[in-house]
Amino acid sequence: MVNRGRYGTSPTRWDILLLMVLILLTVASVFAFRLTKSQGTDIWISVDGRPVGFYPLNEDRTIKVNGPIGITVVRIHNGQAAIIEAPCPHKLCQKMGPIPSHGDVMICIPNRIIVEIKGGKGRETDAITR
Amino acid sequence: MPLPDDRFTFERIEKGAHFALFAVFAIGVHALESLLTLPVPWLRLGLSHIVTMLLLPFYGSSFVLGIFLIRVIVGSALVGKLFSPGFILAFGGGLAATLAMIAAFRLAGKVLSFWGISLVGAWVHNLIQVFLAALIIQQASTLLLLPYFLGFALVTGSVNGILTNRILAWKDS
Repeated sequence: MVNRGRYGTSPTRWDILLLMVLILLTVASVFAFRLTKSQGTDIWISVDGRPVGFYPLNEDRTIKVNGPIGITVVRIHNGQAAIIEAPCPHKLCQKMGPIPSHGDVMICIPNRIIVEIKGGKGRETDAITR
Repeated sequence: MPLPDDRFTFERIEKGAHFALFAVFAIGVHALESLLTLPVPWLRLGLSHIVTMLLLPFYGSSFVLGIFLIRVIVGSALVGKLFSPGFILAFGGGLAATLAMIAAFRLAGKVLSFWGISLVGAWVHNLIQVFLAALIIQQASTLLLLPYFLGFALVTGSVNGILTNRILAWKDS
């Protein structure tokens, strides 16, 4: 079979143009996930693996949580949760700032406290595929 | 009563024999590629799409679609992945890529070389695959992988397309 102009085998300017467009779309895909992020509706607080509280995000409140090394203060304000006081040395959880979205977590390892945003879309399980 | 001679012309029998040969070849490429170890488990080079592109100008759309269906089903069964979540991804992504390459070849085959056709195929393959993965595991955060997979598709698509260009240019020389 002889090639009678039914296909081209040397790169053309259209190939390059297509590559440019796809590069742009690839860069734009960084924003695809942002569109699907949903606002959480509640927070779960657990100490040492045991759940200790479940609070809605639409009411402002301040929660004092007793952990093994002291009291961690969680504040709900404007639909966002933040740890505003922690007894640990590095205060990493405090520096994280407020978290608004479903699936976000704040963890204080020294005080063994986990604050997780729940509600909105999505499921809690993860998956493994081969 | 006339015999159904038109069903048994030499051309048709020849095309059927070619289909069988190329199906076996594509299954082999698919299975070997599944066994190829890459640093990241879900990344594939997409070598079987080279087979699709090489056949497309000579045998047409339904031929390459048939080759794709047979190679993805038999190839996956050979490496023990038939109907696994990975199979759903390979099937969905591969089907979308095959259709995209057929469309690109038919609509723009006059102005694009196989580099462009391969880029379209690889990009669509990974796009559909990531969306399917996000649907299967019900985690929107899977879409965070999208830029990496699409970027990788630009690399593998270019490599496969330029390889296809070289093979066909060599065949015609």
